[in-house]
Amino acid sequence: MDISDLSTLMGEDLAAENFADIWVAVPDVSAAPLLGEARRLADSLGCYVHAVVIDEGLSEKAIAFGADRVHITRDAANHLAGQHPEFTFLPVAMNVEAAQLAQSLRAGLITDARNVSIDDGTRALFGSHPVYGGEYLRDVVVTSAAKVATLDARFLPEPYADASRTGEIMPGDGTDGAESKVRDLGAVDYTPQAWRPLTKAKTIVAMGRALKDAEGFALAQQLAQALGAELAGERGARDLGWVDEAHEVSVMNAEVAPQVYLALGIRGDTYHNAAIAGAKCVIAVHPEADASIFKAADYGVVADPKDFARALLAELK
Amino acid sequence: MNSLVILHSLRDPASFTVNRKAQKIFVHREQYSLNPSDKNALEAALRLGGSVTAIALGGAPAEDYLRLARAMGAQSAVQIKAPATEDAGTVVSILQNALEQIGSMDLILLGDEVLDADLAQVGPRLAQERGWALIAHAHTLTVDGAVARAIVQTPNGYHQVEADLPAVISIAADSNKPRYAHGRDIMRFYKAADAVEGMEAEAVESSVEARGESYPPERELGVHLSGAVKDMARQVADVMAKN
Repeated sequence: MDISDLSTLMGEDLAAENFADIWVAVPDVSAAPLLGEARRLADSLGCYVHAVVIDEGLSEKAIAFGADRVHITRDAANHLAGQHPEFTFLPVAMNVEAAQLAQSLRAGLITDARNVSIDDGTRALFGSHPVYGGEYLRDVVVTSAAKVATLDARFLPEPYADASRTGEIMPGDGTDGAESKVRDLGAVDYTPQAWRPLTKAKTIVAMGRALKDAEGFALAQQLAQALGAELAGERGARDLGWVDEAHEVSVMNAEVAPQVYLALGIRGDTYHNAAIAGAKCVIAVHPEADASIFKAADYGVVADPKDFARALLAELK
Repeated sequence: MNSLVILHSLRDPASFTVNRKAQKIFVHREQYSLNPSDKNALEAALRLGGSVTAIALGGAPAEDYLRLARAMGAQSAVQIKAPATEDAGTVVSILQNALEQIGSMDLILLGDEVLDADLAQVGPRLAQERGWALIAHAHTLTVDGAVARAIVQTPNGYHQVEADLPAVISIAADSNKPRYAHGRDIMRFYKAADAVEGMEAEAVESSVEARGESYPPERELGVHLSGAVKDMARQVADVMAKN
């Protein structure tokens, strides 16, 4: 008996419940952990996992990662709105679509959830989402008939791919893809935040004396560009003319509180280390193992900052 | 042109400390601030001109920021007295009810992220509910006749987009520099009894409830990475991806 027969048998229940199964939007392979999570929950609930894919080539993979049925469509959110999904999981990149879907399904939505679970009895969806930039997580429960969550794949376990799994691939219906009310006129050259103070930066690449020369300066610039980070420096960098006063990290000038502070070749004097106390994650790179920056760092790398910058640039590409 | 700006007040991040080891939040003082990107949304609305109405849900902190919005230049302010909710769907229902009383709008603006709750969904949900266009993550905004144009941030860089009014537009944090209100206006609108119009919210059922807080693992201070430079770079790239 294949799963379509089961669906027919269960048909009456589904009509009564109206909403059924776990549906997962899989725009690309990075959403595979969502399928793994859906499979785990579906096994304990005893329901199916539907994957909604845009690229036909992902169908087989979606089945291997746990989907029972794969739907191919150009507009995942629109397709989902036409079904009756009890639980819908989308990747965080689809937060906006998820909210619109949730509104049309009259569903509660948890965005950026780092974990989800389902109560077998009440079928409520539990999840935790970060607040204040991840300072802590708020635990919520969703009790509407349909429940939607966007899941942060970085915090989910690696999914297990079983190539021997079988599933059904539904052909694309071709009717999807409602015309958007917003017209995209193409890419533009735009540089935001020209006035944004260093104190508001989310990521900072800070330069120190151990970067030594113009080559080190250029590497730090490239790294900042690749990370979308602000460029700053310690006293030494200002002496070399790499940064101005407003971009000197020190209790006298800029006290910073970014999510990530990457200190390249900064030895770390008291004034500098006190100015980065608010940073969420400090990564320090310095050639000397006894540099005082390592006392203020979450992650310490004893290496030549230029070599490290090159390696990190290669890694980011 | 009539535009509505939705403001959200929240506990000031400087007024509490999160202790992950004790699994507790220590509140030092009752201090609130305006959700950062909401201030940018208000500024964007004021720059467009026309009639700007500021609206907020909640109690005393919300009223303070509505008065500030008046001082910055909003023509009117509406405070909806409703209990705090985790459910953006509830917020949308309450706003929909309020909008019926306030009158027709050409634009609804709001910040594109909410620091303290899961309410960044309000913009997309409101657009869906009203059948309006939604421009998300806008950095610049201009209105030309009945068309709104914006530069938005997309995964593929910045794009120019346009949509017919009416529309819901979410404004990115730090996309503009909010103006300072004149001290004289701040005093005037803090004293004026009619600066903010109060409105009682009808009861709306909520399907999302808070159950408490949980805490990410404690920071691992002083982890010394080891291995070849290349391996360490990979580890650092992983750390960065998670932050």
